[in-house]
Amino acid sequence: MSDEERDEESGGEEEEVPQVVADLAQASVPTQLKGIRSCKRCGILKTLDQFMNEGCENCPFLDMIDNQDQCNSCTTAFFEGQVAIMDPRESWAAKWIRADNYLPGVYAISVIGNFDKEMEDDLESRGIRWRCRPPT
Amino acid sequence: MSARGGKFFRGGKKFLRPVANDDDDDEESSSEEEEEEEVSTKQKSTANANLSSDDSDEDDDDEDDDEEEEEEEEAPKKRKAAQAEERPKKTKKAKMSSFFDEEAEDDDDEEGDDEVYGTHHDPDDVVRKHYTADDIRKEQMDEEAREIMRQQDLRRSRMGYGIGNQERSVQEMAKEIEDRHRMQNRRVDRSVLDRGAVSRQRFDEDAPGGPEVYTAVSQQSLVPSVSDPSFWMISCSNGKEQEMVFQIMNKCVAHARQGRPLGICGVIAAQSKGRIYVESFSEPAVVEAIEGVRGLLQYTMKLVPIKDMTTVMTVVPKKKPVKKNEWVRMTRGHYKGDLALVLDVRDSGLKCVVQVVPRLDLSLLDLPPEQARVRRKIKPPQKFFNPQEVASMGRQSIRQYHRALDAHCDFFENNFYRDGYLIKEVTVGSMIKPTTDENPPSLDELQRFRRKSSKDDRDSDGDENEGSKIAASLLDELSDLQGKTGLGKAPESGGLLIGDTVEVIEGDLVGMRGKLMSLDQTTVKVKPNDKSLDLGGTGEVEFLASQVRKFIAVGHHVKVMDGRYANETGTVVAVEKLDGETDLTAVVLTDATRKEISVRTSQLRESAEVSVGQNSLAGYELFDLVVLSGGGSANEVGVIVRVGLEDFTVVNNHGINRDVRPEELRGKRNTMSNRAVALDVQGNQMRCGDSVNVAEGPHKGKAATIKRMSRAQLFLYSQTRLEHAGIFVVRSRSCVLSGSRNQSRTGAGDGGSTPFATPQSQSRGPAGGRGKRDDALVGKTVRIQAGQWKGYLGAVCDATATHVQVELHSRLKKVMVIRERVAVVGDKFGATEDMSQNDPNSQNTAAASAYAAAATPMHGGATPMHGGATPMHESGGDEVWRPGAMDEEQVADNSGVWGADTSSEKNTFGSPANDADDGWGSSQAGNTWQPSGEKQEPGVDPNQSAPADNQIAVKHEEPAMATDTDTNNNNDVWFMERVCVQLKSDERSAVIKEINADKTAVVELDDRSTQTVRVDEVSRVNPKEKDMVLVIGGADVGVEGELVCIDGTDAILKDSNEDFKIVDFVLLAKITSDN
Repeated sequence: MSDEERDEESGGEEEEVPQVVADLAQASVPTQLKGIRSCKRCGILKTLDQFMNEGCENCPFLDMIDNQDQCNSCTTAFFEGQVAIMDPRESWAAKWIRADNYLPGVYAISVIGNFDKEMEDDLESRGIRWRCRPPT
Repeated sequence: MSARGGKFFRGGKKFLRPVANDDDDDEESSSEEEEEEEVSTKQKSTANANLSSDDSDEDDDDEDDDEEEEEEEEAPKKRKAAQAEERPKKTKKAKMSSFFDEEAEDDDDEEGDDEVYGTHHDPDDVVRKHYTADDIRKEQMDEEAREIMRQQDLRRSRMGYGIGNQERSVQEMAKEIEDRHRMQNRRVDRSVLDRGAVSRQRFDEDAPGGPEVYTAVSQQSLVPSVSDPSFWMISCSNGKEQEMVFQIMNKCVAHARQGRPLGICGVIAAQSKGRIYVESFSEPAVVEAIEGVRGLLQYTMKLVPIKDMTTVMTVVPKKKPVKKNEWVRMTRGHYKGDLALVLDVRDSGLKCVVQVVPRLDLSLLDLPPEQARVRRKIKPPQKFFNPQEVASMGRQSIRQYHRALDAHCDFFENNFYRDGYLIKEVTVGSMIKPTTDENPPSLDELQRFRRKSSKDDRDSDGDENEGSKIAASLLDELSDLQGKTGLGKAPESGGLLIGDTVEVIEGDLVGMRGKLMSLDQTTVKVKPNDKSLDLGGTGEVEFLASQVRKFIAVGHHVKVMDGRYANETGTVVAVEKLDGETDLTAVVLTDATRKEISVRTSQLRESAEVSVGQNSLAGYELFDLVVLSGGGSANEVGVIVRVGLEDFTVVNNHGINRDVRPEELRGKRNTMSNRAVALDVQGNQMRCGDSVNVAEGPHKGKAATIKRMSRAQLFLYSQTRLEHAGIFVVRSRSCVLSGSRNQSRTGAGDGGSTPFATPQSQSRGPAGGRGKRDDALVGKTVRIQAGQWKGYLGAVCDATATHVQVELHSRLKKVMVIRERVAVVGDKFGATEDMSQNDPNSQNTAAASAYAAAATPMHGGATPMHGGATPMHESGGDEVWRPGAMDEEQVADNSGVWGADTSSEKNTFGSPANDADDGWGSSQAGNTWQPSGEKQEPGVDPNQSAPADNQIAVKHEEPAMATDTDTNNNNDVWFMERVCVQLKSDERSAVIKEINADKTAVVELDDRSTQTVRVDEVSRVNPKEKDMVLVIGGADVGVEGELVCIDGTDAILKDSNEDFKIVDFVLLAKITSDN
């Protein structure tokens, strides 16, 4: 995906399809209504299978593809509210939930969960912030 | 973010981002943000002065200032209003780009000033100077993450250019500017959010990496403005919100793939039921987006006011993830409301493995399906799983590997059990819910959850189950807390009571101990124990209440007054001061349970009282007979000998005591115990409440009362035993019923035969006496043989030596009859005689009636002739006393009336025995009317044959005992008062004055002297005419009259009613007329 983006970047702004539309076109939407998980870092909603197959487009460093354990530890079933974001840049809702710099997709309004301690330390050392909040 | 802004920072950015495309405006905006972050963070850490000198970015400075000002002074609404005002103004000046340029120029001017600083003092440079090698290394390590960040920034900034249109409209420009203003407001947060820069790690409070901080303030900066897209609310059916969102998203994706994006920014399904919100700048776009989406009610579309937009986005977390070792509550089925412990969380928290106390109804397995279906609705009680118990039910539990727990568990009926707990995988949310603050695990629940490891449990190997341990630790914690609150409740007096021993803990006299003499709100008066310490002359010293505390010495016997262990008593084994506590903690060894408990000394009071524990727990009381579960045997019962706060001590039917928890009991059996009857070693019946003596075994010699019975086991209670509340277990056959109850009981069962009931108990000597004979008559059915009530049947109510009181069957009347005038015809149950046997015309009967009274005790022997039933009540022992030989004699005396009969009897029994002189002689005469019966019996009634044999056997011993074989004494029917007799020794005549109990009589001689004679020392005087006579036999027995004349063997006599009677002469006895 990053390659494509690069291509687009190099292609400049004149491309007939704006980046946001291109992103939207590639957005993944949960394929089922049940068993939806939320990425603990960005809050995107997908099924476990989708996480397994595609990973998280916003957080590839979580390295979830074909790694069920990682999928389970980096996603959570505890989230509230769903926001489909087609245009993260413009959407106020995306800003409100701080998903405005993520890719289009369906996001949770609130994500409850914790990363594992090691994972948390790792992310913290990389300066990556995450959306999931510990349960109160 | 704007292109313009980017230009100013281009120089700085180069340093920051060595990556390609510095020319790219997109880059700039992102880097700008990074810079801003740095500045803002730096601002917080460094002095403002520093900032002003170092900071090149006036824009940032400006923004920060703006923000501060706005946050401080302006309410957000006000700001919005201002912006709203601004907006139309700008649109009006749509074409006046010069205005914007000017406006922008102003900004630029300001920024330009900064730019001077900026070029000279690049913030990044400054920051970089402080870099350590480590930081740099980290930075490089984070390259990947940063790259992603950068791309995200890039996307965003690209969007800032609008929808791919280079020639931006004025409107767009206006919006952009506005955006920029807006962004200034939220920049801090965004910078925090998006930071990819490096300096962050120094400022922890600014939360570099880590969870997003959703503080009210930061979120406040994100409140929507008019320039944000609007929300349109659209109704859908309840529960379909999520689906709608996905559908619209799918539609948008599909359109985007075709290159025709729908003009909406987002779709929101929060927690508002039946509503979704579509975010867009334009209403037609919304309409287009929702068109064709099934389930949405397009006509309900409605614009959401800006101020409500945040409300729309508000969600309350409903589902709460559970964590390992957390307490949860089950929400479904039989386990609803039960406490469970999370052992493992699976599937990102969707599922978890819990451990719960099983509610397994093993009896269900044996029921037919229909009944089982009904029973299945009933919630079984909590009980720990026991593989042995299952095995005893004939079912098998197998050991199986549980994947999630990585352990082997018992597998039974599709469920896993470990250490007695049910291990269950459940769905979070639907099957369990976390314990809330309002409904935390209660002490009781935790106690039930806790399982004490038992030795025979093969799983535990001595150490407790983990869950049980957690429960235990929580329990301890709770009890600690409770102890603390207990302390908090009565701090004013510190639990002090007058008479307590107190210790001074403050002031000059610290350490002094004394007795508390008086107490008011703030001061106490203490009498020092040390007499030499006399300070005010009164012997009392006054202290503030806070200066003293209760003193509890080790070794004292105390009672707990308050808190969890209230009312326990015990001995103090240690007193210690725990960390952080003002109060001392005493360790008390309790009397009831022999457990050590920690209690604050303020809750203690010296007391000699010994608590007996509670009276009841979970419906069970002390001394209840209970059925125990577990242990393999299904029929184990026990008696509760101690009721504790959370468990019982039970002595089971093997005499072994053990501690059980209420859920291990399967009900009481008190009523069963009260109905039960057991036999003692002598065959006496015993019931609850009876007193017994233990005849053998370890408890031999003890006397106790039966408290409970279970089968052959008696739970005896002895007040003198302290152990097990006085309860001990003895087999019923090891006990002897004590007291007199046995006699009365058996006596009640079997009328007058009692004295003869058991051969062992019978005295063979001459001591039998009349008293017993009298008793023997009581209760018998008799026929009155003479007098006014002749022929009537009745039951003997009372008997004296001479008279009997007969309650007539046919009349509601009791009559007194001379003893001789009644003939026993049956036992108390009625007449059992064969009437023909009592034919009044028969000589036999006449004679019998004459002897009736004397014969009474022997009626038992007589009865058999009346039928088969009665003899069964008689024991063979009776027959022992039937003197066959005597009958023989009597027959001789009685003119051969009995000749045939007695001879036959004699043959029957083959007994020459003559036991007549054992004091029963007179009574044995009663057998005169018996032999005929006896004669028939051996043939007729086989039942009788055994006693008969018995009889013979015994009779052979008789001669030895018979001391006197005088044959006359069987005539002693006449031997009664007023009868004239002649002394055989000296032929003197005498009159019997009194009959003694020992068969002797006091006779009055002619010379008025008295003499005691035996019946064989006197003979009857034959009456003469005009003599007063007594009929001693025949139908008119007992009749007195005057002998009128003698005609051959017949005599005519005139009775008191002037009636003439003809009586056999030999049946007359001369009596004195003076009465």
